[in-house]
Amino acid sequence: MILSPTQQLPCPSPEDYAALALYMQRLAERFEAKIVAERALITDFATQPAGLWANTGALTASNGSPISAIDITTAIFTNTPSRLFVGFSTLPNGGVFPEAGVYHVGWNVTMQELGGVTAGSFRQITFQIQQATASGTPLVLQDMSRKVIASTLATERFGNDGLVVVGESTRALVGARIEFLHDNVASQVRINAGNLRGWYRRLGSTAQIEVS
Amino acid sequence: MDVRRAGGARVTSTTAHELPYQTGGDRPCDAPEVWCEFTAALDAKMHTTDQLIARYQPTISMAKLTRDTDEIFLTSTQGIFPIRFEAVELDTDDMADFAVSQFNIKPHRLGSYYVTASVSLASGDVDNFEVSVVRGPVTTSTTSSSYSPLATTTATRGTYSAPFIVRAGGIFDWATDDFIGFGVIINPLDSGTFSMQLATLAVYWVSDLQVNGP
Repeated sequence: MILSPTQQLPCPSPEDYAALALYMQRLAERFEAKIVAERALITDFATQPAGLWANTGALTASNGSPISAIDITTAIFTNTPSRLFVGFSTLPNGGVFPEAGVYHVGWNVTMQELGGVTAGSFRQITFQIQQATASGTPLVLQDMSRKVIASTLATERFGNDGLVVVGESTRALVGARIEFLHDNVASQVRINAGNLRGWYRRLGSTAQIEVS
Repeated sequence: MDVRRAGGARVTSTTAHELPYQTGGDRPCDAPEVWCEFTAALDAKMHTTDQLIARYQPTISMAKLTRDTDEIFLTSTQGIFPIRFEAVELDTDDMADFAVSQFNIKPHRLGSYYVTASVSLASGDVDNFEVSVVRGPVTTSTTSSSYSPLATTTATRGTYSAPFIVRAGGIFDWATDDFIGFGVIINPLDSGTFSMQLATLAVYWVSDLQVNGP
């Protein structure tokens, strides 16, 4: 029997042509195992954990009074059941991210003034992926905060995104810190239910690529 | 498809991938030779597939650079400010090489890449600026005429208090290795000084450049 150089596929020696049926069986079994393994790898790559969540209730803030510890828990789409985009106060077992790896994380918001717009006033969303530490001071893994100046249209839409590295040993300690702040003196500013959205998609592991 | 061997015998192969196979007209004793040609061809095809899959599993090309120490810019002495990064937080494909440049992430594989940059500016006289993702000559000597922005923030203008937090990003092609790398620049639109607090630049591979067939 002769084996091919990398995949070890069997082929008969010239004197073995009477045993072709057996060789065909071996080749078929070898090839099937290869297809099953490759399909499993491709399926795993194509179905990386991903999700999109939104705030459940309206968030109404007054000038200079931040709304802190915001959780966005209404799942619009997720292929990772039982996951919520939440902060430390409601961090689920296992943390926000379902497995270790690198995630593309982002958010966007639409907010509206309930009355007048103060010229030059700002709207700010603090959105950080944090990891709890023994010292009590969280480690910021990625700061995706944004601060924009108010438009005259009384509706602001903005967002941000970034890459977050989540380790296996610390994954259960990772959550989101989300706050809403503005300095619009003329009126309160509101984010309606569903208008603050957070999402993530796992891109892969931190392993070094070794193939050319 | 039929091809003729050196000895004169014919070998029939599949059309697309040229995998040889035995036909009714072949002698039974030719089967082992045809079989081995078949497995050799299959071996080569599968090896290529393995290489492609191995690039995706367990990961794809990704890199992330950060800077978290203050840097003061004087707009009176320089017009465009390329960001010099300080740390490589992530790099799965040797795309960040600080020995060559602290300003860029340079992919090694042609393709489409998602690029995102975020910059926070602290106190300063400047409250009107743009941040751009660029693909080209990003160095300390960058000038307004030596870069071509891929994505630029809306100019930030206003009187609100620092920090000014902005971002720019999108999907961009990496079509030739002649590019120096993806980088980030700050373009002040007013004169004065300002201080940068935090900057990040992240890049990850999205797809190859080739067009999908039907």
